[in-house]
Amino acid sequence: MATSQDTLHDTVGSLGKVQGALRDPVLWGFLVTFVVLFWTPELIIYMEWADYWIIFLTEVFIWSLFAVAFNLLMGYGGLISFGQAAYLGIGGYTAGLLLKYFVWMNFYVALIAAPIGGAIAALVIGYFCIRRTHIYFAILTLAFGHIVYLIAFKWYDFTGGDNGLIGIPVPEWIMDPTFANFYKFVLVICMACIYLLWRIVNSPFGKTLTAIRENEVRADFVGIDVQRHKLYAFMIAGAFSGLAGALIMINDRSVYPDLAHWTQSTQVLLMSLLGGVYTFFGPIVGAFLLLTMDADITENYPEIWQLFLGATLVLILFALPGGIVGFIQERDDSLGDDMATRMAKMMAQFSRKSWYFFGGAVGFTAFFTILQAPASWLISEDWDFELLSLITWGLVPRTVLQIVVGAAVLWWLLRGIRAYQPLHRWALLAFTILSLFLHIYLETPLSGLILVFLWVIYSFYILLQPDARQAFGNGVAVEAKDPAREAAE
Amino acid sequence: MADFFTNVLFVQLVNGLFIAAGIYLVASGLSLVFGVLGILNFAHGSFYMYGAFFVFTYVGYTVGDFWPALFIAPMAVVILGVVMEVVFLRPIYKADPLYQLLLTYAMVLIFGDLVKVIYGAENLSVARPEGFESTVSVAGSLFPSYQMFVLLPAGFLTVLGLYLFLNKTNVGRTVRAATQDREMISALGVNVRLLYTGVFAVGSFLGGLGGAVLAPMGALYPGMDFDVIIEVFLVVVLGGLGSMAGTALGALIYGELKSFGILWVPELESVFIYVLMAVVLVARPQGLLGKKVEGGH
Repeated sequence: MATSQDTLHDTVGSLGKVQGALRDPVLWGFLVTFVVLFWTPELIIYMEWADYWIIFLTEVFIWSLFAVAFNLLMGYGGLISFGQAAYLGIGGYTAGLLLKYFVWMNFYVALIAAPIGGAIAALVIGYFCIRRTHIYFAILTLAFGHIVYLIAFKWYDFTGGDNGLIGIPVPEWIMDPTFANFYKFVLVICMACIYLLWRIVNSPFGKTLTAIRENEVRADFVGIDVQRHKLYAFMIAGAFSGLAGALIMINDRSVYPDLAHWTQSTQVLLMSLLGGVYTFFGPIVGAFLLLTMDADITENYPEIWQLFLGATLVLILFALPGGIVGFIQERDDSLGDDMATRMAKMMAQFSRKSWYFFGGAVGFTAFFTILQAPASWLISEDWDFELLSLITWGLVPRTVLQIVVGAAVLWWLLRGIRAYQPLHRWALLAFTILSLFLHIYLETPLSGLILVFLWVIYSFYILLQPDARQAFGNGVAVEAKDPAREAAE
Repeated sequence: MADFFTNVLFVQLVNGLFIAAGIYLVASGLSLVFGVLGILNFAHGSFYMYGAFFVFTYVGYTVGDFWPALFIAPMAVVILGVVMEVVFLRPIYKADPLYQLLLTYAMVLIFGDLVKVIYGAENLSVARPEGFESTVSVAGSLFPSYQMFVLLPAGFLTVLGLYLFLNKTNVGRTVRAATQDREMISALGVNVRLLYTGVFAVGSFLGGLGGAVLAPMGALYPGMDFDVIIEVFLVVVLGGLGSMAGTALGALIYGELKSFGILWVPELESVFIYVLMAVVLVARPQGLLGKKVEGGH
């Protein structure tokens, strides 16, 4: 993905650098996403659930920033920090204390102080933690993270102890009734920071970090100052985590020691693993998915949230070690294959993964519906017949209907896809979008909805690739090598 | 005045021994498992918690019969531990150590919430056994008799028992050999799978025993697993992971430091140990008695 970086680091002067950056497709992706998300509040403002979504997305942005910063350590540096919430807390408390105790304190100065506080804390703690790797690093970050929590919890005179800091003054414009101002404020900051992190992981520094992750001894031999690079990575992650903490503080207008609690570290760890550790954007997907699950579960069963996280973690470790984005990006085909073989493998894999997505979405939806409405398993309360409604059908009949109809249609479509039927390609894309709208219409739990959403993206990503377009368009690949196709089928 | 000072110092010294004995009971199991299996078991704190809660259940069920619980509760924990080892850990011994770490971490989350589901989120307590409710006078100072006659001997017996087991028995020698070279021990015809399960069972027994012995001394609450695992980590980092003698030394230092730290600056008692750990990390990264392994990592 980082091809344009090669031009970037040539010695072509500042103008060349600017041009190189403009050619970066990721930058354009960022800008388009930014524009769309920036006007989203205006688009949905008249809908009745607009507030909910704006608040929810704000939270997703903040946690995405936190998760991407954390993943700089975990995915790129190979350092699993079990106490990353400490910097979230330090950032939140730095900005919170400044705003609370100094009346003249400028809001933006306090906001800038948060990442600085996070970086300084990471410098001090990291100085000790990076001396050991793997298991020791895990222990030490956990222990130091805990002491930060304890200090926030016990030092009543300074941090307010477990009462937290409440009533922190924030500018008037943040507290607008539609929540759109704060949403946009967070969006600008988080997207800028995530883009900055993207540049960091693709810079020579990021590559060096990955080299250290792959083989520390060898990196040492070629003259890389391993400890210093790790410490820098730790500080960068600490700084951005601190900023995320400050944003959470502004959102709540208060800080509690819970911000630095180890359960927050667990959540960010899960987000990275769920989305995909070895991908840059995985943690964002993970943050989105985990927060939707959180919303689905804590509504009715807040006490089993950790249990659910643990079960998810076990499931990821055994079934999905690359996370969801890693799962989407994973490819069977190798560079040596000719086009027909590559297409055959790609479509075989596409069909397999589509089944996984289908199964995952159905499973998630059923699981969370059971959690939310345990009473409506088989029969309904009233018999006003409405096609597809949970009330009329009950959970089990509706799920069975979904599975049977969906699986039949999907089977037929995928068979056509693997035979390169052009019509089936569009029909499949339509089918995924239809299921998405069906999920929205039926108001199924968010987690299943998000999986369907990811499925839509995945289908478009694969079926609209240049190779696939060519194969479906004029069938060159198909004519070239029939046996390979039959072998794949 | 001088008498008062020696008295206070003596009391704090013995109190430090109490803390050390308690933490050693838990930490020894973690250290043993790490030494042999090479897995840092985050869920060890959960074993401790379950040991304590099982004592609560047993004492409640038998209406006050405490002593058998000291054996039965840890044995119940052993069942949990063996199931966890066989079902979850066995498939990933060959995997990246970070995966094993994450897996035991996942177990912490699962075990932690299960306790909440089973026992509720309120604090529970176990009454001290009959005859050990009051204090005992030793050399002119008063000490809680439960700590004096149950906790301290339990700690000493565990140190002694582990030492004799590891150094004087054949099985113990095999275990020690496994900490040195797992491949070789397997080539010599030892059933490594069984050995691992056995060591994990002993480790979980020690964790459960720690919880059981400490149960009458404080409140039982969900979350005690995490509190104890942090303390245990501090101890093993101080002493050196995988070294049994190091764990004992670490526990001793931890206990005394905590005990005298309360005397000196009560608010900062938990900070001292961190400062000491930081010093040890800079001066001797492998811990006080730890072996220098994996190329100085």
